[in-house]
Amino acid sequence: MSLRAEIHDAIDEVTPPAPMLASRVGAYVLAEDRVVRRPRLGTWMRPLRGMAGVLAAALVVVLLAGLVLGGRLWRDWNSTVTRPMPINHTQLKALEARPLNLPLIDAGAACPAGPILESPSGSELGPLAYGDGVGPVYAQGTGPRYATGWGTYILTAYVVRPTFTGLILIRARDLQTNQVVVFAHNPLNKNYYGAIPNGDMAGTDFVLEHKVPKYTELALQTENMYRDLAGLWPVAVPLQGFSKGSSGCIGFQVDGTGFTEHFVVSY
Amino acid sequence: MEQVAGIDVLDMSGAASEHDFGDLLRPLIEPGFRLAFAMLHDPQAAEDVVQDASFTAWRKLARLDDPSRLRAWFLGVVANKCRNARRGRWRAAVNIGLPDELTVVSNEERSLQGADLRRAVARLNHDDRLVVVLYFYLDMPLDEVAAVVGTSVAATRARLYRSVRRLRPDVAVQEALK
Repeated sequence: MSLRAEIHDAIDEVTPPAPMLASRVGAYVLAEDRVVRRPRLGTWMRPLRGMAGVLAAALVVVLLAGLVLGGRLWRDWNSTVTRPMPINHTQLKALEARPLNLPLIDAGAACPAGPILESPSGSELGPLAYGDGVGPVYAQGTGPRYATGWGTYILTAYVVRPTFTGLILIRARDLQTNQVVVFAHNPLNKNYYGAIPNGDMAGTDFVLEHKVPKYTELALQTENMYRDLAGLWPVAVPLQGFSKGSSGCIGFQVDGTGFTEHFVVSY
Repeated sequence: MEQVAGIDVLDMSGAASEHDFGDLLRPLIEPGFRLAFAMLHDPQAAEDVVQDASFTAWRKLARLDDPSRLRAWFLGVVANKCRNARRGRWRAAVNIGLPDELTVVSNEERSLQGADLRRAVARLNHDDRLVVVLYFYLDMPLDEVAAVVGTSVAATRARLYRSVRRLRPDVAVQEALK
């Protein structure tokens, strides 16, 4: 067998199909493009610009009227359409009410990082090679980092044991400075329904050329999270942000029904 | 020549449409994903890279002076995004798909060989791996590989030779390049 054929086989063997990728990318690109690009009209279209403006304004009025008048219809229709399950706010408030139990350590002290669960055979942690935490939630915060004027964001993967379902609340602090860690959607992947930045809004920032709101908590809703390739482990990959001056020694508290989990990561 | 015509239309009207995207970039998404996955071994990261690269390419499409180079140019954008993604150590962190372990579990000799080869490719540095993936996996001619990498054909050939030696020290390079 030639090297070319071997390489084809070796890579094809593990390359997942992505049949809808082109459509998704196309929709994303065109949607984003409409935001940033001001359409340039051809010469032959310029006389129509005024008329198009009037038509557009009329269309806006009609749409607004439709939205107002059709509110009830919209609500009724919406209730029958399959959509991501809304957060159970009663449950969320109960989780938020649990006291945050993260110790402060002296500046310059050794970061008490851990525990970490290794997955040497690749089966204990679903898609992760290792995970910070003791379960049922594990984190791996070694994704791409994005620096801004405010601080640094890290794409962090969270997985949840398939046996656990329900709402999960994640809060984090810098153990040396007590600064709050913020959470935000990955602006290039806004469709992670199951990972919801929540809590207090801590301003906005520009990450990957996108304006992203920052929040002080992250809620995971396992029913709506994406799954790993095996279709088992709920996976979410949000951004975690640390402001400038952070020591990088971060304590996490993860709360869910029937458990509270702590772990410390040294970034 | 459709691509050439497509770019001309886009430049003249400036109107970005799904039709334009379909004509120009849609055929490149699949090879872009294959390139990104082969470079990163992480499907989610590969999708992110392709999405990001597509947006960058779409925004800068009008700057492409030679439309016949569209594929090489686009794959070059994907390759750069892959380099940035790897700088963040993402691939080392999240092996979604876990190819190595799965092949070990399968206990089939062919799979084990495939896993060995994937590991060997993964150990190459970014530029070496890029020429290997473009040449052997995407079956691109050497001159187009050179265009993606941004070096001369001679330099690309030399890099390919070195990479093949690292992958298969026991195989004659000329034999491997067939």
